[in-house]
Amino acid sequence: MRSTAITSAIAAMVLIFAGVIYFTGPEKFTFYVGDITPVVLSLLAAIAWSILAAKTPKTFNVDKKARMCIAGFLWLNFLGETSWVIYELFLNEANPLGSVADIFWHASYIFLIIGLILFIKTVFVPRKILVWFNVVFISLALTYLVNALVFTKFNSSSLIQTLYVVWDLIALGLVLIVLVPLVLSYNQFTRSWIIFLAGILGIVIFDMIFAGLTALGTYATGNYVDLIYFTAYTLLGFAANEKYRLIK
Amino acid sequence: MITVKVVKSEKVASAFADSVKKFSKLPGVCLLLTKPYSAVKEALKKKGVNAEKIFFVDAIAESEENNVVHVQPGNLTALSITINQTLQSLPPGKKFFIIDALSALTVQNSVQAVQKFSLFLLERLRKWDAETVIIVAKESADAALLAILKQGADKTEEK
Repeated sequence: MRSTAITSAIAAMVLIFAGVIYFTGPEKFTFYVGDITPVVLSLLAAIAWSILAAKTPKTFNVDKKARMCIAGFLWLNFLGETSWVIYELFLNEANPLGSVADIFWHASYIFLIIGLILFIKTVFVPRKILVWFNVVFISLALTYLVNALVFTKFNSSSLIQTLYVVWDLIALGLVLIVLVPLVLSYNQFTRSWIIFLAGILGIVIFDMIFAGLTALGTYATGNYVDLIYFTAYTLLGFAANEKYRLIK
Repeated sequence: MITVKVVKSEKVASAFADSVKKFSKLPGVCLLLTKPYSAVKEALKKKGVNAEKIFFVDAIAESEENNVVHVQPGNLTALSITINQTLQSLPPGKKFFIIDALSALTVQNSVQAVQKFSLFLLERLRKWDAETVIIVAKESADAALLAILKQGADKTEEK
């Protein structure tokens, strides 16, 4: 059995377990599951992408570098999730915004965006569409940033949340450039891309909802929205397995 | 090595079959833009080539065969990903890639888009170290597209 198939199977079981607990378990238990699950899922996805990057033939060096970047993105996410758990479970600090975890998560976005750009280099995208998407999503990101800086009361916590949305908008633009044409032409070779891009899309959507909920002060670990996040990590692990299956 | 074969329309099929036969001992991928796999399979059988050992990206029709994947020829993004992934799925080492026939892409895409796609593909195929044959029908090929292909190739054969 492929090593990435094992990590995918474990991730699927962890996701199902978390889903069951979220819908049926007691609140305290949901809190623990909500903290631990992303640590496990990000670790499994990071391992799967590291294996995939290592096994990618050298002749496909841009793919290899892109996969290494996604592995880097996931390892930094794992460190971010682990830091978050340490704050919440061991230091009893609920929603530790502006902590070390955010340093890892922000750093992870640099890897994600470089990885997505490298992936797009391996794909033919008509230049007009590329320019159009970049202009729209980078403009949206900058507008959001300027609006937040000028019109809202600012502190370090809100700045950190604002930057997440800026990263997310840039990542969203890069994902949609490739995802839209692929959904229209599905086959077994485009499947791994669709799963991967859906995973990134899940993280981006979660981050945006998370930013909104924390701004309203209504987010706490154990919120149903966490399930989007868990599913996103699981999909990223599945995507690595799907790509690795093709190489094998 | 990238070879461009410019042939008369009626000789596209035989040029394709000859090219596949030449590389049939290597693992490889064929991109079908003018005839579906079902027709190509029979033609290759007559040449003594087992088509089931080759991977086909069929832009004409869907197929139930395991070694065939269908991509719409108008979706160049999906086509580029499928080519990349199919070549990655082959065993490491020498491999081949044959296109029958690139000029047919201009039916569903603008000539400029196919020109850019050809440049993209030439650059990628060189990096992927695939023995490549691009067959072009003389009558239907746009002059600028043909010029790009000839400039990007290592060898041009005109028949």
